[in-house]
Amino acid sequence: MSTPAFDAVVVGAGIVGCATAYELARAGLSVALLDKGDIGGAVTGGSLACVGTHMISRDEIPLLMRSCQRWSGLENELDFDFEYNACGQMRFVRAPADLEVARGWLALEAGFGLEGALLDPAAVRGIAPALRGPVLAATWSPRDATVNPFLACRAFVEAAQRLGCRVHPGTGVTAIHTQAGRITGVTAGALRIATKYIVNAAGPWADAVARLAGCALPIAPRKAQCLATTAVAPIIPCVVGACESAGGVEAGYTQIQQAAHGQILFNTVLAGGVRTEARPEDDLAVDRQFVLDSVETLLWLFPDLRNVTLLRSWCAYEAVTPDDHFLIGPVDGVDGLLVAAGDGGTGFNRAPMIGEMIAQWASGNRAVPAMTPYLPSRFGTEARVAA
Amino acid sequence: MTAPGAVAPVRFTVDGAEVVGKAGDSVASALLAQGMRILRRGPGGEPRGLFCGIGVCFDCLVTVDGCADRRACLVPIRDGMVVERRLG
Amino acid sequence: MSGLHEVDVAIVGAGPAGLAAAIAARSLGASVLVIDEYSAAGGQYHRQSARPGPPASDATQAERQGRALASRAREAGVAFWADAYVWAAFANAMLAVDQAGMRRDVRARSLVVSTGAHDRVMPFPGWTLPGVMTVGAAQALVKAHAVVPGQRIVVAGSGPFLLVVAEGLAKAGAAVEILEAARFRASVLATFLRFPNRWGELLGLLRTLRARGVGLTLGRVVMRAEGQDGLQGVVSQAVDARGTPIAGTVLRHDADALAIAYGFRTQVDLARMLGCRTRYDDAAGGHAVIVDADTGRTSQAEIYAAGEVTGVGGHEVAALEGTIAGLSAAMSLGYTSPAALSRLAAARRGRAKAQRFADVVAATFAPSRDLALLPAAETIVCRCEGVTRDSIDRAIAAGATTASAVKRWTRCGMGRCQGRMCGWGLARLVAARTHSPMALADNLTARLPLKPVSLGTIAGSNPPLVK
Ligand SMILES: Cc1cc2nc3c(=O)[nH]c(=O)nc-3n(C[C@H](O)[C@H](O)[C@H](O)COP(=O)(O)OP(=O)(O)OC[C@H]3O[C@@H](n4cnc5c(N)ncnc54)[C@H](O)[C@@H]3O)c2cc1C
Ligand code: FES
Repeated sequence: MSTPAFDAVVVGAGIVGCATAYELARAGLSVALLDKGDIGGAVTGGSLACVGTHMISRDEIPLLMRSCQRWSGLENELDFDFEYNACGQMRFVRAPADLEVARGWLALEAGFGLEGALLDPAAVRGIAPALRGPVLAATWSPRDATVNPFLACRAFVEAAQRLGCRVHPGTGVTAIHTQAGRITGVTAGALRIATKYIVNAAGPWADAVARLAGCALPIAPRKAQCLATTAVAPIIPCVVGACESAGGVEAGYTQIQQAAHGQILFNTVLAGGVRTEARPEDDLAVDRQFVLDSVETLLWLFPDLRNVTLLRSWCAYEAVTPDDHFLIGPVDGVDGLLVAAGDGGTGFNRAPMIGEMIAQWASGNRAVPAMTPYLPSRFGTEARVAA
Repeated sequence: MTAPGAVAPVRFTVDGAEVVGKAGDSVASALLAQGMRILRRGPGGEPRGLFCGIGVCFDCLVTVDGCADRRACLVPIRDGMVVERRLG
Repeated sequence: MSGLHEVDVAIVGAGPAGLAAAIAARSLGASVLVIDEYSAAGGQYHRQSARPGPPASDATQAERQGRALASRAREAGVAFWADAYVWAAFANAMLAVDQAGMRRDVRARSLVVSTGAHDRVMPFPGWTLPGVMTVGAAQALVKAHAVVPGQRIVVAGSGPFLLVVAEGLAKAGAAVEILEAARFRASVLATFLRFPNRWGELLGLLRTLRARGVGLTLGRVVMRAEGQDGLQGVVSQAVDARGTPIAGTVLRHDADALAIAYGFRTQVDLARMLGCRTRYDDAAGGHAVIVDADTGRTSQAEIYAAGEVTGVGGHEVAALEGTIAGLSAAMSLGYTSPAALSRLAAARRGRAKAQRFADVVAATFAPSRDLALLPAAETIVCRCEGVTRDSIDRAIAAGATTASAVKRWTRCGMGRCQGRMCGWGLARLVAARTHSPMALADNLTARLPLKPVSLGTIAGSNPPLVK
């Protein structure tokens, strides 16, 4: 049997891999997209998939703005309804200390021309009447949006397929082949593919995939969990998140929103996410304390939901890097090996831009300015060739 | 269609109309005994009735005394109970 | 909020396996709590009449046995929570229970999972019509409520259960016709002849059916259910050994009720949530918990499984497995009695024998390949979310190659029944389209809540529902 050849192989069909495969195909490269499981079956499928600019990252606002812009036109571009909904996002303030934090974020974002406001409780209820919990205030970012994570992947994958991309779910990469320090191909079970470029978009498994090429990447899995109710009539009109004084996931977070089909998706992590040494597939249990905290917070905010029923829950693993920023770009030591992983829990926000950067690089533009802050080489020796 | 035997009647209402069942009936069995097979409408508006009969399929959901989404196959009837079907 | 309830052995599911396990564990001195979703113990096989008062004069033997077992357990001091559903299991055998809207937490030193099975259905055109129901539903109506679902009833699908339920329906006064999908081969008959102790049972059943005018046709499948606001008739067709319909054999049957099931599907979600390893055996109900046959022990310490969850085998196997698991669970906690070992040995011998017969039955009624072709393009596969076969086909064509992948892209299996009704049919469709084994295709996972539970209940602040 002859070995099929592609210009690029994308390993991992999460939102990052799917967007990247599409952008590569759009740039004219022949592409194969491989995943060891289902397409979007890992953390991507577990996502609440809010795409916005608010309270995400202080030093990436321009990138987030471009990404949001791109998302707003993708349903048209990909010719697929993935339930893009520019519903806006609010972050409720519970403790007085958070008021200053909230003002700080709003001022920073206003500096980039982003709309925003600090809402008093009456204004909060003007937007979300059912939010009757005793919040002090809430920030408001009207342009933030949500997408259906499953359908967003499907939209990218179907568009990529129309451009000739071959998609192989249930096909885990088991070996990466090099010759004289250059990528020559991959093996995934019975499938062997010859290629020049491999894009490692394997999320929390990115380090394991890199090791097949003799490299190590500073990426660790972090458990993330979520709950969903049965469908109810529209009651939560926007994304509702928490604003904690320390900010960020490590200090605990809340995210609540209602999906197009009426299910309320919600989670609250009080203890903060725990980075783990275990493999992401080893512990997929939803924790008791997480369930109790999430339900308590939801009912504190929306007391009317007491008789709504919990229907589903899930657990997935995000990929975190030491500085909470993605790794995007060529991996030193192996020519043709690129990485696009390390989402830190906000990968949907960046996925379309990551795809563009990788496609530019693979089309021959070796100096992509947007990529510079994300190059794996910023960790120096960590991303070196392992012994 | 009910097997013989003297069992106490139980009166309750379904969408405002009185139905007489027998002690021991579930909402679904009491309605079925009256020839009322439709319990609600499915996502496409098509009629649905009792299907699994043992609380697994959730196809028999009705509102009982104001409490939505109760399984008609599991809820026993009581005198004065108010059952509403979502037929809209 | 109620406090934590602690017990030596908690048993989830009060069918033949759970009741036997409870009696066995309690007899050695362990404290035992049985938790069941229904209001009376007995499960599907020993289902009790819901009528108040003493058992009716025509109560079946299974019902009488169930009543006796339940009172034996109660008298021995087994605690029983009715209307109680275990909606989640957490680390250290912590169980979260929803008892009629009230939150109760249980911690058990040992756990027996005996959650049984439910009817297995393949979607087909018209299966959402009122009047179409599972075989188990028809049986429950007659047994618990003495209500016959129709006057002319077709009982169809596959398995010995069809005969038993048809008998009950006919005795209750309905005109009944049985369409069994399997075609018996000589080899099956030859195997059956090796179990002479079963002949009497089968012949007795066939004789009653005949006396009641119940027709039995082999090798015939219901292709379609017809009617406007409810079932008016079914269309059947003869099939060959692979389940392929044979041209020129279409028949229409007048019917106001159709009871249909292709055997049972194990309810292993609790066991899987607890981390118990499973194997896949389509003929024995799909995912089956792997147990050590001598003790009922699963892959998880102090967790036992008994009955249909270890592979569908009928009430006899279930009860014996329950005894084995109940004795082993109590013994591993240090409880024992002089007779314990010999009781265990007797139950093991009995189980091995009953299992051999169960294996023959499972092989005989194994679902045929072409059942997957029953749903038409516009047939609703997922009853909860209204997902049709052609939208599933489109998802498969776009790269969804497992049941879970199709679920994400179409919402099939994402509704309230959590894939219990459509999961098997969906997996069969995926397996047929992608030429993959059922063990891979049938991969919807069990997550909490095992059935929907209200947020107020979880928060522990709900008053109990009035019953
Ligand atoms: C509850 C929750 C809420 C969230 N909310 C948001 C939000 O509002 N906004 C936002 O932007 N983000 C959110 N996220 C995070 C977001 O889901 C992730 O950042 C994003 O999905 C990461 O995508 P990915 O493609 O990098 O990773 P993944 O989805 O993990 O994809 C990696 C893929 O690689 C595959 N793979 C691994 N090893 C191999 C191998 N050897 N061969 C082949 N394939 C392999 C895996 O199977 C997997 O499919 C949320 C996450 C959760 C859990
Ligand atoms: S008929 Fe299935 S849940 Fe009531």
